[in-house]
Amino acid sequence: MEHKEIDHITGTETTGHAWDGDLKELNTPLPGWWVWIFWITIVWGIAYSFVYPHWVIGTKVLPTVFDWSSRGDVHKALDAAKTTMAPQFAKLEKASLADLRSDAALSKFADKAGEAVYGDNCVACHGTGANGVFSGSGYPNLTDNDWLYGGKLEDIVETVRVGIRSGHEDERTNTMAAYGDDKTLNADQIKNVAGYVLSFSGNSLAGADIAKGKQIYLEEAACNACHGDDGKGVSEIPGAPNLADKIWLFGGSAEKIITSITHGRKGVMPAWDARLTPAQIKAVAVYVHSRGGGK
Amino acid sequence: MSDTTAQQAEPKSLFAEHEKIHPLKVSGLFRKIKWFFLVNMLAAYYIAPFLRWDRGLDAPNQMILFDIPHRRFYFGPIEIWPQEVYYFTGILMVASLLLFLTTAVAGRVWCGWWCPQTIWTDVFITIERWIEGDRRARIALDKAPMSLGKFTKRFIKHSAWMVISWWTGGALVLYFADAFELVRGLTNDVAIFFTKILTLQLPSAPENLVAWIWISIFAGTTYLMAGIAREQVCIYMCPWPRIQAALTDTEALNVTYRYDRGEPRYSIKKSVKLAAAGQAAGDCIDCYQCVWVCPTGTDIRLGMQLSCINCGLCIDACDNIMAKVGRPDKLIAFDTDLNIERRMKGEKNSFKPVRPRTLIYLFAMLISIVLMGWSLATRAITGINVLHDRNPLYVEEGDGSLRNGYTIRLLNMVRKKRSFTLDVTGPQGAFISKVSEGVFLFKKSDSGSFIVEIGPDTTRELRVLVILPASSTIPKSEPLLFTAKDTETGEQLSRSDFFKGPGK
Repeated sequence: MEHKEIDHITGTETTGHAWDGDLKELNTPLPGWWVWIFWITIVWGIAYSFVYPHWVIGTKVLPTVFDWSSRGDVHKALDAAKTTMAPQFAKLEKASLADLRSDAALSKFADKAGEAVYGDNCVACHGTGANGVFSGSGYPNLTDNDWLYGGKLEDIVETVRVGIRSGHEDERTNTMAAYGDDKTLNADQIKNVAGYVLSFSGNSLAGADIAKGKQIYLEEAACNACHGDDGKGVSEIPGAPNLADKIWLFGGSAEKIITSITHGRKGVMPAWDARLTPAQIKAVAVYVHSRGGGK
Repeated sequence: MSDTTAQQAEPKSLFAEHEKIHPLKVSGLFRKIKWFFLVNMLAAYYIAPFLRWDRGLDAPNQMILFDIPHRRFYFGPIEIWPQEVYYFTGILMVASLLLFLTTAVAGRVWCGWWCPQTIWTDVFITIERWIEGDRRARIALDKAPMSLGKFTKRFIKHSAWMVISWWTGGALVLYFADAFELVRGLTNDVAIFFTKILTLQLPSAPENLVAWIWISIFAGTTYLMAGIAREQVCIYMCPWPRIQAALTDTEALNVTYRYDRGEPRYSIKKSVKLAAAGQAAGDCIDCYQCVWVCPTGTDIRLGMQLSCINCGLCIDACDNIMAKVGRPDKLIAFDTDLNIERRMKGEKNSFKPVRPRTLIYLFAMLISIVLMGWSLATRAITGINVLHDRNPLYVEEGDGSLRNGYTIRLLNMVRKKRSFTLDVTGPQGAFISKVSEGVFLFKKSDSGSFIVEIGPDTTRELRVLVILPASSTIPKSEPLLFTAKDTETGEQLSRSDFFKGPGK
């Protein structure tokens, strides 16, 4: 449909539509500058896709004109950050743990650097809040004041360095035997001893004979060798948990305790000395210590 | 209007071609007033960044400084931190109200005397007049074909404009860095640039690149606004002429042509003849001086209008003519249309600067000033912010007690080292067990409160642990109040938060 009607006042073509009888819409062409910019952006866009990495041929990306990539930018930024922090890391590397306790600025740096190290390496098991993945999961809560291998800064540094049952030559280790699997105790005996263990923290287990349980705890199974007569652990034997408090690494319900006694427990934490620098280990230990549980 | 008349109407463009304004030179009272403000305000603008103010060794000594990289704003003794930028809002509010007040009393004197657009345009026109001559010469030059003489004049004029534009931007950047150092830096950049050029090397990016970029932007806008666009900024771009209609009323003074005296206008000879014959003849001799001197090309005799910036140059022009033709002055004057009507009815002139509108503006302004001053005088020079640990919300210790962790940031806006005691009140028995930065532990005072030292003009972030010993009531969420107290002055700050627990 060819239709041309020129508006007298503006000299512009109308669209030919009329509203309310005589109200007509102008078909004003786009301004020249706008059209020019439109074409320039198209040309620019095509050039841009060659200047910056974009075209993939097979598995290769066409080389870029300015040798730029966002990944390269990240590496540059990381290198720059490393350079900036290098003097402080060097200082941290040399510092003794006593220095850290007396130098507020260095301690602050270690705390912040440790937060980054923790986020990159520890979160998967210990959680973003350092409180374990969930209570009784077997991944220890690092924020409370219960430590199997010591909660002093020195202890934490060592645990991070060598790990637990990690295969490292200096690994921290101990053994909770599998009394059920080894046929040392039968199911009834395990139930009785579980009832006795629960009594340390003021709890009870229906159907468990506490007197018999106590005898097994002290004699047949000799649980007290590691966990102490009162269940509070033996300070010379690290890694044996306090059974009298409210914190249970593998769960404090009767069922979980029976499982622990039947099958034993062998939690593993990797050694980090091959993956982290001594300064990073110090830093992450400071961070963990300052979450609140550190001694 | 019917269809037929619309279609038969002459096709005409809705676009008005811009007519170049060539203001004529004028002298008189209002020209003097304009010179006075121009010279003083430009002097203040250029001198201010070089004024010093001693704030001690660890702070900049520039009186007015917007220190963007360090997030500090300095105005003499006042130091503004980023969280206090609402003071700027307060200054803008007072400035707006002052503008409203002056407009309600004496019209757009801001536009005519104080607006930077007016001041720079005035400077640019003056330079134009020095180089190209006054109105007639400039009109003639515009019409003349391009010649060596015309080109030379134009070249000198635009070069002079560019130099002034450059200095405008150059002065503005001095408010954002140490003025003396920046001037040295810029001079050095120029020296390096010319050394390279003279030794036929490619010039490298200057050291103060950011400053150069900003200077270029401001130089460009100054050249464009004051040199090229001029009165078009006032007439087409500026919102103020539109807003002023809402702020003024019939009692506000404005530059007014007193048509009661001026009309009907005739040439001198004719008006003398008519007056002798006993017919009406006004004082206006239609000489157009008022229009020619006007920087926006306004004909004030058409009444108050959007393009009039109320500068009063037409009053000077008209007074000069009236003196020459021996008629009384102030045919154009700061007056109101209401007065003209009064005089035409034979009533007396009256001017009421004190009326509800001006009083409201004045009081609103005073209240803003008092509130600002009061809040500035009593503002906290110390601050405390508390952030509760998000994860975990609480920690259950082996002995059944509960622990909550907080990040507390103390602010010390004073230029000296201070120490604070930190205390908490909350659920019965709750106490601060540890205040630390990493494994650096803060110590307790004799009274049992933790003591924290904060360096001058800085903040310190602390990790604070609060323990609630095991008890029969286990909280779900209880209010808690941290209090920091200056050990010397006793100044006290509190911040409330919550103590979280599993609840039972």
